[in-house]
Amino acid sequence: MELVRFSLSQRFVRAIVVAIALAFALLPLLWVVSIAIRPGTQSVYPISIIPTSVTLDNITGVLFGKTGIGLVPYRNAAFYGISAAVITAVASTLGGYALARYNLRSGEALLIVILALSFLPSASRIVPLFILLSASGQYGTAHGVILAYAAGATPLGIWLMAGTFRQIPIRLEQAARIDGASAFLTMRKIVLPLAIPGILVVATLAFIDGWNSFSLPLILIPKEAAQPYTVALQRYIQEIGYGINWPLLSAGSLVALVPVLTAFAILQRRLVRVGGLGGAIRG
Amino acid sequence: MAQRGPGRATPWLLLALPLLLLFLFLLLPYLLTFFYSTTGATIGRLLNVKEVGLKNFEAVLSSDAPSFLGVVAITAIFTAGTLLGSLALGTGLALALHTVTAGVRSALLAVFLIPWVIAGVIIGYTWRLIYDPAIGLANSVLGMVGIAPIDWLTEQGIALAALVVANVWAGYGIVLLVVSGALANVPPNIILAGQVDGASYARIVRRVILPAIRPTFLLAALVALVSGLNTFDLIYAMTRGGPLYHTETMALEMYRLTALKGNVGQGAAVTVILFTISLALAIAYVIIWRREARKWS
Repeated sequence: MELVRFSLSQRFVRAIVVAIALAFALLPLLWVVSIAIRPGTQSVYPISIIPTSVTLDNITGVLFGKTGIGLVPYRNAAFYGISAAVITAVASTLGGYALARYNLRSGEALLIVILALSFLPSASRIVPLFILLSASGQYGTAHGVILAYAAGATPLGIWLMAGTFRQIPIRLEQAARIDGASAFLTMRKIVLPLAIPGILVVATLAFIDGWNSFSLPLILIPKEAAQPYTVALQRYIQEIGYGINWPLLSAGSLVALVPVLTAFAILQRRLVRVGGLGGAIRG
Repeated sequence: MAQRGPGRATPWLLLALPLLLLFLFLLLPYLLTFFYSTTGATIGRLLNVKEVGLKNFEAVLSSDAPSFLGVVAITAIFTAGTLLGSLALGTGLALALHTVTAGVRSALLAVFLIPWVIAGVIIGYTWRLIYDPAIGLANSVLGMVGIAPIDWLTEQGIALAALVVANVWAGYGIVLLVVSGALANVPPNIILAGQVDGASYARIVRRVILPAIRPTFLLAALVALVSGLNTFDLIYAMTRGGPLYHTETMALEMYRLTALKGNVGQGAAVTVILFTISLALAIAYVIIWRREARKWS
């Protein structure tokens, strides 16, 4: 049911506002698609809005061609994303369970401080992490970057998992224990299966962070073979003379969108709900 | 309740791993930054560093090419632009979607949230393409109405504004999402009461709906503020601070001093300044949120 009854002219204004916003939201992405799927010879001035012919050459060129970045940078990004997701999911599940099931005043206070820190985006950790990893001899290794992204995603993860566990009635656990199940068995057979949706969301958010990572690998991983697509795609940009290979850069960007948009589409409902929490964390 | 299980040590056992991770990779880096900001460390020399007191801060504050005051001003303009743009677009859209049916609303929300999951660099490349002088959409559209092409990212007066538009595109979705959530929680009764009293919709929005979501609105503003302040990937991908430092924000200055100039001490000093401002905002955020959470529970 609609909450407010609008007159015809009010509906019209609303439709226009939404249509303009949709154009603003989608046109930039559609433009990337249109450059990526048209032959390179058509990506020149003056450019037609709609491509006159369609090709997959740019996409296969990026992935397999001589001037392409290959599959490795995407595999690296996937490795960063999946590793960060697994570590974040484990740490958040442990921490969330502790906060949900035990009365920890000091723990809660601590988490709030950490939560405030985790709101600072990863850019502000570039310099400190560079110092930390260099000083400890871990500069250039992948696990430094992975742990950094996992640490960034874990505070919100703990918070979300605590919420998830609080919704699972403690009586379920008590009943299992009375029936003679061990703490471990209760966890494995009763609690974790019920917490799976929450864990999936936490892991997906961390995966997106890791897959999208740029500033940390840019500085912390000098070795080209270990860099993600975000860094590798820079080769299509020549800062001097503005020589940018737009067909390949667009195709490479397009490929990069596939995993995140797929994850987003599958978990969209849950992510949207959590996003409300994550963006402006509400109890 | 709930103190069952093997004993009082259990929760801390569970927390050990997450706390270790957070200490090493979240807390310690910042502690180190504060330490290094008072040293003469360089990229080649990170151990056995010399203590220099506040010299780095003096050097940063009195630097020219680019002048630090200029960098601060650009950061402020960029952040304020991002904040106002995201709030206006996000809230306006949330209000428009508030009055459509739930099914349509969640479908549209999903579309508007797409930028939320895209990498900052890819957003940067996307908008750099839009602004490309030869094959960009922006100039193509202008061309259709007979306006001469514009050098969006290389014209000194325009580049910063062009970046703000791109960053609003990247960030308004989260404002929309948060405000939409708050609007859904506004009791329908108070809106209906306003209608019965004969108030216009604009008046209901101003007098009833917006006051009801004020706390959430404030939180959304703080999130947009902190993320605008710390935007790095997008600016790096689009202009790298150019033309001639005209889009050099504190986040980029931090990177330039540390990674490009190798002056870790000065880079750390800029980080400390940026960190302090961000942390003050983040703490304000958490305090407001705690107060509101208590009020509603």
